[in-house]
Amino acid sequence: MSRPADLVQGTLDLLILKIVALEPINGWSISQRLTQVSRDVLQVSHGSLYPALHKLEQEGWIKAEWRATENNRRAKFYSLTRSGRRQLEREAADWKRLSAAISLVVQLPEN
Amino acid sequence: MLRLERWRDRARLRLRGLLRRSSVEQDIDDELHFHLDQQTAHYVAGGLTPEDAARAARRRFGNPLSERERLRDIDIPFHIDLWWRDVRFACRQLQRSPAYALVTVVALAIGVGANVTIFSFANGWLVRPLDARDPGRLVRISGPGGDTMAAGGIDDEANILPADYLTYRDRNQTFAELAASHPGGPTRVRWQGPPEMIPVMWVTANYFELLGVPGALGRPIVPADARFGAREVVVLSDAGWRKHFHEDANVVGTSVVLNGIPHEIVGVLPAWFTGTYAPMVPQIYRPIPERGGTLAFNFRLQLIGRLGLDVSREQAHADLNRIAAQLTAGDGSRRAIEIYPGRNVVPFMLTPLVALTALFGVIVVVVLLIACDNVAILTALRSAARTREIAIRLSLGASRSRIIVQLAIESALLCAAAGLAGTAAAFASARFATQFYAPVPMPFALTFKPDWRVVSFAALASAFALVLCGLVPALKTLKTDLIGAVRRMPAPRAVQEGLVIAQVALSTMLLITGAALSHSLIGRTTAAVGFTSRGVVMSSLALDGEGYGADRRRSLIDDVLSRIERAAGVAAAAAVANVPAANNAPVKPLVFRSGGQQHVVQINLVSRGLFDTLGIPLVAGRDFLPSDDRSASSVGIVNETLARQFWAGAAAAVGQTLADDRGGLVQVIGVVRDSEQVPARDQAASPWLYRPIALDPPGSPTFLLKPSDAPRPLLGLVRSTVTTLDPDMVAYNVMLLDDRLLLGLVVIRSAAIASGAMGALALLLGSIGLYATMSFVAHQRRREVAVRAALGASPAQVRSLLTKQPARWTTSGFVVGLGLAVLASFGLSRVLRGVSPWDPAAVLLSAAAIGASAFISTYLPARRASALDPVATLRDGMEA
Repeated sequence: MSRPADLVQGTLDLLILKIVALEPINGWSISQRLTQVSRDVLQVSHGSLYPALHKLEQEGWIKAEWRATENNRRAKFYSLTRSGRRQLEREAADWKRLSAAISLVVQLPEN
Repeated sequence: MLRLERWRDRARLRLRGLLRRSSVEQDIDDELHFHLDQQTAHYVAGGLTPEDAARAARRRFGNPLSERERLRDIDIPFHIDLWWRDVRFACRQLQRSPAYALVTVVALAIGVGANVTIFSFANGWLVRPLDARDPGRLVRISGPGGDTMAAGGIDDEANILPADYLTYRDRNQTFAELAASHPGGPTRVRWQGPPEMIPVMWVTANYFELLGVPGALGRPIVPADARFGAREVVVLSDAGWRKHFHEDANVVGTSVVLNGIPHEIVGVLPAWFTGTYAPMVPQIYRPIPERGGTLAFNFRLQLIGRLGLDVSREQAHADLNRIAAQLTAGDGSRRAIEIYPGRNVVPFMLTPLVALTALFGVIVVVVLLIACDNVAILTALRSAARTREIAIRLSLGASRSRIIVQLAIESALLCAAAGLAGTAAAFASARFATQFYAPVPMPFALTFKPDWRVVSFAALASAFALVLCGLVPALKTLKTDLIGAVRRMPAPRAVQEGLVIAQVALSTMLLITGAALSHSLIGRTTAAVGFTSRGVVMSSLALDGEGYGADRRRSLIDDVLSRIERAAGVAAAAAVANVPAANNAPVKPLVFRSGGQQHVVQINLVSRGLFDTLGIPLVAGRDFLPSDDRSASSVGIVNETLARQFWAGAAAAVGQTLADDRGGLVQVIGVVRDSEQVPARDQAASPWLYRPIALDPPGSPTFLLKPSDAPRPLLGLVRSTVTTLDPDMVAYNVMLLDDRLLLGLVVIRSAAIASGAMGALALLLGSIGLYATMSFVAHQRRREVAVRAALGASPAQVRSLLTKQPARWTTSGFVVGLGLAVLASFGLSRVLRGVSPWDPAAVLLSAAAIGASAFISTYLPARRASALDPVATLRDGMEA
């Protein structure tokens, strides 16, 4: 297993919002989905995942609900609120601007 | 919308975190367990044995306890431990400035306490329904003008004739029940001891059934008690039982003698029932006997009805008016019915009580505003002094919200303490006020029940104070320029100026109106009454009831009078039906004709010697003689106003004859100087006719004694004289006439005293605020002062430097306050007729008081500043 890339500060919220936006999903599945989608590049430890989830919930961007899973276990499912969707758009736009800017800098020709 | 939704979600989460901590923790545990189980299952699917998988998952997870702690801190943001820590922190902060804490709590406690007191009385008067089961369906019924003071007169047509009551009761189709009562006069009551005079409340036999009042001991009055041949029974109110029957638990079944006739006490009523005649408190209830379909009763009644199910007040009103029209068709005399809601207070007392409450309500709200202003000043000063501390905490990473919470907790603690102290003080003062029984015919008591409304009001008033004086300055504190604040103390702010001016203005307004009100109200109590009451002793006798016919009364009055006028220490003595100016038992006015005109003439029945006793000069003719008293001859003495209205004047009046509109003739034998016979009348003197008391000897005559020297030894004279004549007799109202005259004005006087006291309180609060501000300003400017002093400014120059600004503030405040007082005076003269609160003397007095207090509160700090050693001050400043 390769060493996971350190997440840029503040991008975890964006990633979680994005994953949660797809469908209501529980905490463990979020970490799995993140790993899958990023082809094993992004791995988030539960030590960061759950505090981030709970903070987002306290902010009112996502909301949690106890539901049964496919194999009939009770799990906490997170879904995006309307204000969360707005927040996701904002953060995604910010990220695009930031990464484009960083790309510009990184691609500067060297002598 | 979006924002609102988000706030709602967040608030719900936080509230849940705060209130249901255990469920939040349970959720966290469940969530983490689920994660662990999923991870294990994932490893098992990858080929590990279940044991290895579980171990691997746990290893990867780390310490679940610390994880749980972290999540809990996120989910329970306003943790109860955190609150507790903040409370202790706030206590420590307040301990460090005890003077601030004390002044704040005392000022707010005064403001909250005054408001709670007034509210609790208003609550009793305006909101409280009759003490009864299901009071919502109860109404009060009266004749025309039932809500005017006239209805307090027992003969007034606002009250309903007994025969009419029976007709209403039996013919109505809208009431489940209709009961009546009549406040009787003082009655001779003897029970295991000497007789006492106690007012009695007459009630129809269905009265207690209608109200749903049971007996606390024994039983209430029941319909069987009114039947012909039933035993004579009475029921005691809780107040009466405590006051006159020594709270005797075995009182039921004993016999009590009312006006010479034994009655059985069949019950004591519960304490929650204060009667239906509030603020008067009945002591003993007697059934109005009903015989052969009529009430054996001669006095007009006050009615209470219980509406039938689904009957509106309007329907009931129409129903009763229909019956009234039938009655009018029968006897030709007009009737009208009025219906009032079933409030605790009798309708005719409501208007004066509302006026009084409104007046004091406004005053206490202003007092609370002043107190809040005062505390806002102190808090702002303290915040200014704490700017540095707060700036340091902010720069060390404390969030603004945390600091707001902490400051708010400090304010909340102070306001809670003030709220509790104020409420306790209000309850104590209200209890004190309710214990006050004015010895008017029926004991008068302010009822006060600290119910949930009063408690919520106290909480509300404290919260109002909290917002006004706590949160606003706290929020201000946070608009702090961090770097600037850490480096140096901030300059005093402009807001301070506004607060001080507002404070002076409000204090001035209250002081002026308070002083003016006291001045004009106390003025009324000492206004000349046209006779000398000083030293005169009064005692009334009750000659009502069985065995006291007119002849017996006539001879008893004459016997008592003959004995007391010869007694040692008596200069003059007289008997009267109605005590002048006290107006305790008014005699019905008569109409006399003169030259085709009709004049309403006030009447009093008096014995010989009255004008001598009260020092009313006889202008012409002669006084009554003993023979006039005994033979009830048709003679009379008139006052100068009457003599002027009917004839050319005093000299012409003697020997003339007055003819009343029923053909009676009265020969005028004398003319006396005008004297004010009825208190608090602002109109011109009325015509008065005095007739011999023997004409119609009253049931409750009053004897007046003028002492030759000290009055006190004469207090027992009538009582002892009466006892030798008739051992069953009792004298009451035994007191100095001066004391009695003051009693009549006791409400007005207490209002005057209270408004004066509020003004003084306002001044005190205002001075505290001003003094604190000036001390702070002087402290802030001490370096500037030191530099000036070092450069050669004299102490006087320094003082004037420091006092110039506050002098300007005080002056502006006074001018604004004066304007407010003028506005208030307009309002006041509408509420209280005959009171002119615009009073130049009060303005001058208030100006002097405000000026003096402002001078002291600015001069002292200024003098302290000018006395500082400039070198030491400057050196301190360098080191700081």
